[in-house]
Amino acid sequence: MNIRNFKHFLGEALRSIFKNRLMSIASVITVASCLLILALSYSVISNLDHMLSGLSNDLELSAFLDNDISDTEIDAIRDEILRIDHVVDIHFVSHQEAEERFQERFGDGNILRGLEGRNALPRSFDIRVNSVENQEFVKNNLDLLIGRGVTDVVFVEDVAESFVALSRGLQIGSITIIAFLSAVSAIIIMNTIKLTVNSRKNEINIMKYVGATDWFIRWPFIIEGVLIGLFGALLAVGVSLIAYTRVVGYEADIPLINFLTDFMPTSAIFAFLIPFCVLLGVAIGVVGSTISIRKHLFV
Amino acid sequence: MIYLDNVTKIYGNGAVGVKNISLDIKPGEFVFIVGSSGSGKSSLMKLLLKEREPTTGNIYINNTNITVLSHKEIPYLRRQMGVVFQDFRLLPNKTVYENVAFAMQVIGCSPREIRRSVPAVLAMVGLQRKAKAYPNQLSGGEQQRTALARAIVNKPPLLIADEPTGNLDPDTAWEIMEILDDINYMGTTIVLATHAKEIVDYMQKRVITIKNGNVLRDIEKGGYDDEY
Repeated sequence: MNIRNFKHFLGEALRSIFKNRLMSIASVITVASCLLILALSYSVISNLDHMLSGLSNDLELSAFLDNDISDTEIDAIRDEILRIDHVVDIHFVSHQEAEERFQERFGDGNILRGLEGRNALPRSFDIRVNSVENQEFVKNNLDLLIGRGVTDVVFVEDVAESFVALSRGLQIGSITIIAFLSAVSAIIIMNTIKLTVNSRKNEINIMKYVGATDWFIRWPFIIEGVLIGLFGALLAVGVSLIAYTRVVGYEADIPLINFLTDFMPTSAIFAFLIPFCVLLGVAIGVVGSTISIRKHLFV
Repeated sequence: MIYLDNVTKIYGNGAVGVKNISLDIKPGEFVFIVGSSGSGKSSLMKLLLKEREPTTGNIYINNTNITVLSHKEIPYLRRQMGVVFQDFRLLPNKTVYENVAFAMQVIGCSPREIRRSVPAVLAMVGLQRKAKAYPNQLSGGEQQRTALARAIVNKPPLLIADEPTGNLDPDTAWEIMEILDDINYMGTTIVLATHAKEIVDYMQKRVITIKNGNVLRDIEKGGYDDEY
């Protein structure tokens, strides 16, 4: 395709988009909706993965202690824990430290107001294990201490597994939704371009009789599909960029979110999302337009 | 120029288009294809344009067996032939000039070539003053002259015309035939399907009569035989 032809094809495509503008706008919005869901799913999954990698770097077990046991009993429990294979470190968390941690994490002291000095938060041991694979073994041994001064053992891996399951579920769900919406978008683009093809059936027919190649006929329709896909992608990227920036902006104001996750930077998310959405939008446009023009080329 | 070797076309519903037709049309000839409606004239034209494939037999145009051409090669075959239809088939949103230029544009001619060739061909068909008019501003004859200009602007060696005077009054039909005669005089082979007895009788060219898909008569110089 030379520049002269490209100008002709682009002009034809733009003319046609303008002529069927309502249908073109509908197609752009459909593509944008599909890609917006993709952007949303990708942002959530990426952040879940980010959280998981943070968790695996800091995998600890916590053994919560009965409020009624004495310091001597606590020391005995500590010795017993240290005797468990693979335990490399143990740290006692007093009532006061537990409260300090809570304040630190949730920022606002209002939740504990009125409970000061009542030892509302239990004492515990933070136990570090030499490797992630041995956490299960240590947890099983700690469980044997329940009822003997230990009330509960919290295994961060449980949380991690939940996150992994959630992340996988989201991945499968979003891939299904994306595939479905991509197909819907391609069909809508197909219908938009079919309108153009039908209104230009005569022209295509004449082009065939005077010796136009299939590609000469096809290009304006493909460019039309590409432009619709591209506009849809840019709209989706724009909306998701604004939304993500706002959510990340709320991070500093809402301590609970701050505790739950440390959001990935906008640049890291969109360095992938922008090219991917644009490519997928363009691909949807190309597929939709190629299918809609195909049967008209056999004259 | 055109050679049909025992060509048969039978459609999917069993209808016979043409049956065991063999023809040889030399370069520069002017050939009328005549016959009643449904005789097989249109089937023959469609086979020549490679719009339909023969069921059996081979068709050669310019020594190329077009029956074995792939879909991709068809545009290059069609660049060797101009086509004119009864219903003109002009683009309503393009001017006379643009309709003719369009035929050059789609085969990749440069704007310079287009600017040089289109006015010349419009002058040849007597439409130089109507270059900026749209098809709906033209008479039937002018529309057909535009279609003729479009068909010959790329200087094809072969012109196929399917009932080109079918929608025109007798006087206008004669104007078109005179232009076609001029085009033929300049060396273009013309194959023209028609019902116009007066024109065929007057012009005394080669006449091929088709009935029920068969060639009934093929005479070097003659008229329309009412018998068929």
